[in-house]
Amino acid sequence: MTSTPTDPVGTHPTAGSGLFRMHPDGTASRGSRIYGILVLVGVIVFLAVALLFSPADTGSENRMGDMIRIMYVHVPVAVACYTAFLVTAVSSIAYLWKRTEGWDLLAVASAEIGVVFTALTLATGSIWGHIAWGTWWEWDARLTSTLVLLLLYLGYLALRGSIADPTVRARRAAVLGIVAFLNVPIVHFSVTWWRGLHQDATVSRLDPTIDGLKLFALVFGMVLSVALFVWFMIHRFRLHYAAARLEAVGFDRALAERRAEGRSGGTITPEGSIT
Amino acid sequence: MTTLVLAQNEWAYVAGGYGVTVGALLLFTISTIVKGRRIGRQVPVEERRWL
Repeated sequence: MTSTPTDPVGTHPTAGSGLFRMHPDGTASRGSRIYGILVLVGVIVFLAVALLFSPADTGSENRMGDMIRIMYVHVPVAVACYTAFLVTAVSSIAYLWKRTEGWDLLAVASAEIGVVFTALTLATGSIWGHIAWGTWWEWDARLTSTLVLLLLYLGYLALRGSIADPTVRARRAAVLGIVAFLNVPIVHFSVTWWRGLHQDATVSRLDPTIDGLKLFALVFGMVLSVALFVWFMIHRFRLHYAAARLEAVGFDRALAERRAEGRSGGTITPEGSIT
Repeated sequence: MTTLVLAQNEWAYVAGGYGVTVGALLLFTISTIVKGRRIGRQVPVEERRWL
């Protein structure tokens, strides 16, 4: 068992066991560390494949040259952002149904990760656009709807930050988490519904426009981005779980203080109990 | 010569794209771990149960 003189968490019965045994100080466990190392190895292999081993695009209908390498990160981070917001929406529905804290924590953890991946989708797309289209930004349907998606989930996080009551916060955020997800299909199908600069689907069609190592790099990147999302989810969920426990302890203490105030001569100990 | 300049220009954008992505994800990872440790230390021992 892992333990420290001041924090014998490794010996505590609720501290988990085996792969799930938590780090005394943080959100890591043995299992999440092993998983993290595997993902890190995957990232290194992916960078080697994407930047060194895969050839420039000279034969496909789009002929992107070395710029195709940006697609190996742009498309995967977009896939991860779709996945994140889907998890947020499903968790939000589950919260409204079950009303258990875990679903709410899962929703917010996923939304935070989704915001990071959406910002990266816009950033890598902008870099691509500057050389392919000659502009950093265009009010194209795909770009605009993706920006709206980012703003919606930033609003989701802002809403959570503005409500102190955990139950009210979870309920309102769950509603927004479901409504905001309606924009995801709009983002995805925007390239077929409206004419714009953004190209059509490259992989999610029956005859992909790339093949060989290029297709492998793209699919590998997509799998890796979901693996990264899972790693972030493990840690962000635990982070929010810890924050919720702290919030609950603070709430209990504040409640005890109010009760103590109501009694004549009542005092509160540093541990939060009334004497 | 023109082809070489164009290729170098493309690689600068590719490096920028990968730099932004890897850098942002690295920062997010570090922030998650550091914040997790900071908050984790404050949680009462009996409440430390992740799974």
